[in-house]
Amino acid sequence: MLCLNTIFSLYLSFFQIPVIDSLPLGDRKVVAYPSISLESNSYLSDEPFILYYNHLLEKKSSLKDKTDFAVFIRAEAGDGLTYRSTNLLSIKDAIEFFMTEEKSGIYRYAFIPDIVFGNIVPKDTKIKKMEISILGIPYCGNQSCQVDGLFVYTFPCN
Amino acid sequence: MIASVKPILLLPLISIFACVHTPVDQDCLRLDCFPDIKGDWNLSKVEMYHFALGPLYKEDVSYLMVGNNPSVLSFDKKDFILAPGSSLHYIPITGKFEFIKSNQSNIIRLTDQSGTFTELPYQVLDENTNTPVLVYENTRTQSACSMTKPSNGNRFIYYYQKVK
Repeated sequence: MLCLNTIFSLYLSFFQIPVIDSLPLGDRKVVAYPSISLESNSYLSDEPFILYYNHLLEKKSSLKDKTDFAVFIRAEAGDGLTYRSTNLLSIKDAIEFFMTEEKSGIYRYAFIPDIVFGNIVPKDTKIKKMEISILGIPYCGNQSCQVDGLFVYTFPCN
Repeated sequence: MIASVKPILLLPLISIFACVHTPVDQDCLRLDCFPDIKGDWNLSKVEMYHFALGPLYKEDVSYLMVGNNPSVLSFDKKDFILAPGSSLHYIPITGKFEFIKSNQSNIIRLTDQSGTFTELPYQVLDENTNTPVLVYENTRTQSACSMTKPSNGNRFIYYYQKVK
């Protein structure tokens, strides 16, 4: 432990690396952070979770002109029920779920699952899994306003 | 060519030596020896990275972790207290602290009332300016479950500004 601490301290001392604050998306349209590998979605629900969306790679013509995007999260909890982060009908007004454009065409959304669902999921019930959709705003109520794909992340330690 | 390669080959050996032989200055672990730490510190920024990705891919998570009422961390004699405000922390909020100092690193050890301790590698940046910055890295204690999963590999870097 001391050794790791020492190496970190050396890193801090001699390699003042600036914050990059973005992952190399490459040819991937949606990326989650911290992402360990594509096969392993294993997160802690009380820590920050970050989602990137590369709008430059969007092929859906109905989304190409959109400039606002929001995340819609369905959480499966330990009680076997599914809870939603907000109401789809009012998502255009739920700015707390809007993604931020970090640089041209790259959108980012950061949240802590336990906080988002803190007042939604019953006390003493943990989130087991969440499914995230990315929606173009204003949301038209069908697939043409949704980024293709349902992004699923699990919390195996809950 | 060989001459230029040799120092690179020596690096792992030097690293191993550094890890095994970490001299600790046992004579100076009191607060008097670390006057730069004493006082109150306001949390200003938090970054996160995953050990598997490395610190090159740090993410600024201040928006989530600092909040609109940032925490204040205070050191006085042998005690520390953390007034968390709206900020998120994974360290004890009160207890005793001590320093572990070596030629390579400075570490604050925070011990809570149950005797559980957390070791934080730290550094004071810009210590000669009006706004010194205290930086430490926190790796959370792993649960039995997370030790078997690749989760819980997140590390958090906290930045505090000295309260004048």
